[in-house]
Amino acid sequence: MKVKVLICAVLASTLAITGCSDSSSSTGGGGTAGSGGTAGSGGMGGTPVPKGCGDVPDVSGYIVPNAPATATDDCTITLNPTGTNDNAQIIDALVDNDLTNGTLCLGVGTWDMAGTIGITDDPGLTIKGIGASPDDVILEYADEDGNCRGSKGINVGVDNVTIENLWVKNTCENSVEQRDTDGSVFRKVRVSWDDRCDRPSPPASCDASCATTEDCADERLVCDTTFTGQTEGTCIGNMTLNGAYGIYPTDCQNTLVEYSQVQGASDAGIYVGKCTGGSVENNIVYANVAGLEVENCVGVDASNNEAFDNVGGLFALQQDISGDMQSNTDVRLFDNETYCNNHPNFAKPGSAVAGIPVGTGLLSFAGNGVEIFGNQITDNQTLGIGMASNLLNCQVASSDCPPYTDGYDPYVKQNYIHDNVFTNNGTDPLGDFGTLFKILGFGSVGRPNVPNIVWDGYLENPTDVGLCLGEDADAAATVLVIGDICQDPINPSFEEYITCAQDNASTDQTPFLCVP
Amino acid sequence: MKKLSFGFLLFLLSIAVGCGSDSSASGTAGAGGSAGSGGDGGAGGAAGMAGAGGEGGVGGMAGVGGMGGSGGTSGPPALLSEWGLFKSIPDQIPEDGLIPYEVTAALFTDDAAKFRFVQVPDGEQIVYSDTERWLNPAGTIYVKTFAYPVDATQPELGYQLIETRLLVFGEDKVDTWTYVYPEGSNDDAERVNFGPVLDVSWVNALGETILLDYEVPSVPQCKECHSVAGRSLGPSTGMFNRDNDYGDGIGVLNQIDYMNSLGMFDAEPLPVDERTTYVSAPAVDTEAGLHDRVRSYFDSNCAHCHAPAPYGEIADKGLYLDYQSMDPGTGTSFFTWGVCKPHTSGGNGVDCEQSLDVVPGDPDASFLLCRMESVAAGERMAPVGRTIVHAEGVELIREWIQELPNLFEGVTPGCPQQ
Repeated sequence: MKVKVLICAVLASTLAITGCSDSSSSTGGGGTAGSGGTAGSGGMGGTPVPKGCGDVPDVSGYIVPNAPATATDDCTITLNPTGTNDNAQIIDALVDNDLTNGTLCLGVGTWDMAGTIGITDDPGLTIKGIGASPDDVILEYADEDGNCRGSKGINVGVDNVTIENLWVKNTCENSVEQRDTDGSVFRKVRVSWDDRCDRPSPPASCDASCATTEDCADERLVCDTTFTGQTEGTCIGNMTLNGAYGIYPTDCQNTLVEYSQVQGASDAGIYVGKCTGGSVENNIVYANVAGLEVENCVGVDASNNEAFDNVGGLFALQQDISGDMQSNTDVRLFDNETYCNNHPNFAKPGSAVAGIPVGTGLLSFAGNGVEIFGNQITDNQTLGIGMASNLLNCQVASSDCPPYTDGYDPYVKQNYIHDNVFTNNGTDPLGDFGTLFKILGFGSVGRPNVPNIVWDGYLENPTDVGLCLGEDADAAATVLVIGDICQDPINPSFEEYITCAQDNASTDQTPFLCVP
Repeated sequence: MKKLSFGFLLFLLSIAVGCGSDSSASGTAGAGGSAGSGGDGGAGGAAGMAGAGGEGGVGGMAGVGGMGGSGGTSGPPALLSEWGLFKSIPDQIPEDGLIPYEVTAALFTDDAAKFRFVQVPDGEQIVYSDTERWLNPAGTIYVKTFAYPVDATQPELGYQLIETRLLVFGEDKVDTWTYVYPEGSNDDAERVNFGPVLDVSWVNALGETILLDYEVPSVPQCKECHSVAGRSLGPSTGMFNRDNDYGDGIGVLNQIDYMNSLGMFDAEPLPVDERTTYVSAPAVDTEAGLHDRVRSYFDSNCAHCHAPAPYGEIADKGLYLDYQSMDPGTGTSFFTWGVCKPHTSGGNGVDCEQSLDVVPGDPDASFLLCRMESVAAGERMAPVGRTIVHAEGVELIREWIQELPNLFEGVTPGCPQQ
């Protein structure tokens, strides 16, 4: 066992990642270990220099590499856009025909979408664009004034539906949603929101000088001082008005999201919540609040995704939402690239993601049995990987935690984090945690960067294992662990927390070297 | 007056599209006809009862509709009249066997007036329960027509009919159809699948002219909530236990007693006074108890999604506002009422920035109330069927949140995480 782990560590930045999943399977990801084969395809692991802020690509077009071609010769029905009220012809086709296991093809052009497309009757349906790429078949939910229409873009409510090779733009709410179904596939789905100032009939005060958002005199705009903290700024499009989620499967089983590209979501670009099985792979998410979230899932993999220019890149979350799916368990985030996620936070105030620290590479929140490996984590200015309990969340807000629902575990447990490549993270940490890290001596000029992994260190029981770094000290990530002793309610406010952290924080990785 | 946003263009378009997709369906999706036949069976039953269509119900539909070939392939009739449900559509007089009903606590839908009817096939019965939502046999049809007075200060001008929605129960599914009346005519309505937005104007009882962007739900939108086979969303004992005037020869009767006398239930209802009964018109009935009013209001306006399985398939975020879940006497969890409950995904829009659903004693800090006060798509609650604020409903819930600490032992003002 030891030899195997050592090999993994040495070759971590190349193809040995595949081998690692063998050793990892003993931690609890065992059920899904079969997908180790996919990891091998991530030939990008061979890139010698991880992508950073200098490598943020031009995203004017669909840029997901290695996307498979979409067949165009298997259409049951083919429709073409008319430019007016095209949602009507799509819904008529769905309602008036039995398209069970059928394929509805959408022709090249811009589809004028005045309302939501709901799929409620046709299991096995495929809806796909028949252009050369998603950019050729545009479902445009904004009207001629640039205002969104309808609610969601596409809403999937039956099993085994595939949405493929099209571009969903400017929806009011979630762009592509799926609820309570099995076996959905979202492949080559591009989702984006245009800047308000780049849409038809832009507000008159776009780019005007402002001191506050009131000066912009248009609810579609925000004064960028909101983000910069400066006293003078310009009026820019208010991204908070963008839909919450790009691709949003929830209460699902065996969902596959792949080769999709999401930009501009005011919550998460790709969100997988309360799902069992399934994977999210080979997607690109950028300029969202949260790039990619796996929340309250069991046995879901997120691999070979690229996240950049989000507020935070990748997330494994366990939230108290009551109901059946209270745990984020056996979730694996591997072979992803998460870099330069330093976007100002434009989340709706009061929402769960409004508190995401700007500059977060990857966050594991309260999950049990999350494995994070083979990722390249670069140029995220606050921290590379954060591990936080729900208790810390309350503490930061200097408030008591709500009573948790029965069955909810607010602690991080059994997180196995190994063989990741960290480069230049935590250089200038922001927000409340930035303050803490700087007080602790990290992330200021002349000081070392924030360690690779930061964990609150909270334990439910002293014998619980929260973090495992693998066995090899040389290969293990550097850590900053604040300590269980600082747990609320002993230190009920963030100010007291900081004081406690000064006395107790440790960078000793030795306690976390382990055989998983 | 009302006008279709797309006017005749829409009308023509839908006919043209209908024909086009029908022809493609006949070539490719032959199974469509049989899949749809469950619903047609119900329609046949309707026609049979009414004595209008008889045996050739489906064929007759095509003829009546004058839709040429499009009527014969599959799917429901193009015109409402083809269902044979009404003796008079303009006057909303049902055929025999289609039973009118009223509800205790109505869903708020932009102040629309509603004409409601239910029909159960001969020989079938609704599975009755005092507390659960009723289970409807295949072939059951609920019919609801949405209308506005032309001028509520001049009742003699009558109503402008906007749309008639049909909820048709099959063996293992629910079909939903929406028929929209053309501008200026109450004579008949045409099936529209996609959910148009209509310009509606009417004069309310105060003499104010009200302009609405009236949102007709699309067929898939209906099914987002009407998805549980056999279950209805509204019809339940609490919702039906009230009097109704059945007119000539019948007079005023309790609705459940009347329906029972017609053999529509599989079990004998409890005596009228022992039945679960929602507060009638809970938003304005200040005589009733505050929490009873709120339970009744929430049940009709929110519980079609905010309820435990199997009803609340959509909003399974743990906020349960159905009448049973809000019973203070049975193992109540204030948390599932939203008390101090953080919302996990709070919709879109920027009007509501509160992080907790309900903060006892502090309505303005309560996200739930804010979403009731919002009209922004993606933020407003309920999301479908409402584009304006229900002022009385908001006032009721505001008072309830304010009074929560006084109503229940164990609820204190504020929330720990505030």
